[in-house]
Amino acid sequence: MDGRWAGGLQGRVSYSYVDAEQPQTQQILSNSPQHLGKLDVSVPVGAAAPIRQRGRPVHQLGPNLGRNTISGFSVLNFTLLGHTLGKHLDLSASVYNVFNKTYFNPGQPRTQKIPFNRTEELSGSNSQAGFEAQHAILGKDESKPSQPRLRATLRIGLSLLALQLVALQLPALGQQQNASEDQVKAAYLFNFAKLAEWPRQVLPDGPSPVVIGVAARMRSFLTS
Amino acid sequence: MKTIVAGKVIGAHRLVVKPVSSAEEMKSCQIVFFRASERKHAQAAIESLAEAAVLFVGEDEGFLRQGGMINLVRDHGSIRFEVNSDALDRSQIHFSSKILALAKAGNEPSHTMAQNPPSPAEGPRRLERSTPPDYPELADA
Repeated sequence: MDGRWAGGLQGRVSYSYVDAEQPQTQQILSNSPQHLGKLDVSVPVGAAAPIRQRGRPVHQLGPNLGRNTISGFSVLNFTLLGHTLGKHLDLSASVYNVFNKTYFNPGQPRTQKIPFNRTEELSGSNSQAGFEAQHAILGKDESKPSQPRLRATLRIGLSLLALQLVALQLPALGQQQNASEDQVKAAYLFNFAKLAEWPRQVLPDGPSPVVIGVAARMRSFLTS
Repeated sequence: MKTIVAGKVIGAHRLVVKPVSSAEEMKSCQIVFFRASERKHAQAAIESLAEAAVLFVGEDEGFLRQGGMINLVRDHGSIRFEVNSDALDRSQIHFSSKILALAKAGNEPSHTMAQNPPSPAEGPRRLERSTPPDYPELADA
């Protein structure tokens, strides 16, 4: 379920119920929660500094770990997302598990309480790299935390920039082999401007510019 | 257009590209390029600026008949240009011999030429069709 309200408030509620059984052992799946509810609310914070605030409580009920069913829990994650700070810059800061609640993730062979763990990361390439970097940091930790209880991440994503670079490079690559029709026409116009001679009264010898006017309904040619 | 022309200088003149929509705006240009979308307005604009020494370049099939001087046409996947020598001679614009070297006299008379037969008094006025060699091929034919 998805909803939008006045003032940019957005909300999403989802619920899933899993009833699956392993045929050999007659056990229900060990690493997936039977009930999973998600509530996602995003609130724009201020019009001048459009930073969005997103609370995301995740409520999991009755995840199953082998024969031992562990009780349900809910976790609140909090993300600040600034997406108009610059044309190509997204800035997000997240606090996972705001209430510092101890919970156990199903499907992990060993669950242990871990000390307060705070990671800060900067991702310069894209969100994928950021995700991997996060794993790398956790992987180096000797205590092998199954789930950090409280984690704050700061992420500067340039994924949008990366996408735009790809988009810009694609026509550039094509251009090396095949120039677009408009570019060929533009090259012609440039050459006509070079080769033509106008009378002095129209184009004096001084630094006056040669003006090429483009009469078009669309202005795409101008910027091509 | 801007990427090709940006910062280019011809002799002492720098190149400026700008959008134009009225004959008044075209008057201050040295070259006006009519896109095919403007085919209905081209003739009136060209006629009203007959004395203005503006080089009218187009890309529409009937552009030379409308009084245009140079037409960029698509031919077998590349762009060639046709020259309306009549219109060019009437204007005060002169082309260096380079463009005549580029322009190859068309052997087959085009329909445009058939509609404007050269008058004997004025000597042979042809539509010339060029095959400039140094422009890249188009992406798709």
